[in-house]
Amino acid sequence: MVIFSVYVVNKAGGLIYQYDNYVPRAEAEKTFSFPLDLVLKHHDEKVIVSFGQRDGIRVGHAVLSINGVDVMGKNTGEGKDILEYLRDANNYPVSIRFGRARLSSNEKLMLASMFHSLFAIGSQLSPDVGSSGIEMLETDVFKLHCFQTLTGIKFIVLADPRQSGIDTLLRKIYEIYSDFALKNPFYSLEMPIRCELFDQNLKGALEVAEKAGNFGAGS
Amino acid sequence: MYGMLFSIRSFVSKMSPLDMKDGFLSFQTSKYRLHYYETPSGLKFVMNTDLSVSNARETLQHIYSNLYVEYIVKNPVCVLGHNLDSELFSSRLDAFIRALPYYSPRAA
Repeated sequence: MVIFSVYVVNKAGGLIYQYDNYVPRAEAEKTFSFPLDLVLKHHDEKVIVSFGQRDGIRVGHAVLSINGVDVMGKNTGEGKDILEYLRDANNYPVSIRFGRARLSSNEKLMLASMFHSLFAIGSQLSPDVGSSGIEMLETDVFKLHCFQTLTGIKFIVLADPRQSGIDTLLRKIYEIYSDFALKNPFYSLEMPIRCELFDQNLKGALEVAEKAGNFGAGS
Repeated sequence: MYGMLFSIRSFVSKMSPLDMKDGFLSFQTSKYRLHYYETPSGLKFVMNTDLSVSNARETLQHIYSNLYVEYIVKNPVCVLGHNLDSELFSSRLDAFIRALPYYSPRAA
């Protein structure tokens, strides 16, 4: 019963605040011998598993580290190309850690803008007139809740599907935003939020919501 | 709508904190809820309902297996991929939807 992350998007669709409360890291480290029975490929500056799902390593997982050394994009920590390294039998046995790729800040920015547009299209697709944008998006693993204020700021919360009380949490985050970001004389509107009190109070509000959510839905 | 759903699917797969099994299920706004079901063959079933319907995934799955497969796939005249032309499919689909517990004659 967790809240995964919080995003705040400004009027123009740019991400102004992002906080990851709980990031479940499902990683698998395994030692392999030549030849590698997984098929890897390049994708978006990362090396990901394309075929050969087994033992906790799923398709789409990225190579996180080789022999304990974190990889840098397509190259190993030392700068060699990963696929070349793994094709050379002399480098085996090798221990590779796979896991879900972490989102970089650029990717988060892109996803926030993407959601901003999807939100707008959601209101236009409505069979009935006067619909708001997407307020809730559900998948089997998480639920995304969005609250748009009258000024166009969107507060987005990703949480567990069974978590309750997110609507109150969104209103509370709006309250914290107006108290600690807007009333801060050094903060300019629509700019990235860099206010310590905002961070602290947001963390506090998330903890309260998670505990309250436990009573609400039971386990 | 197709572009929107494609973007939502890709958005959800990147945003998801854990590995997903079923993927994107539905989204809701203040007025309607869009339910989505995709078959392994790439066929997409979309249903827009009002907010009281929370889970239409089984309904969509039923439409696929009992109506689509029966009346379109097994029909030698229907070309898969083209517009669904079968009158029998349309009438059975209509009857099925009207029989759903959450269908209200007011809306018709």
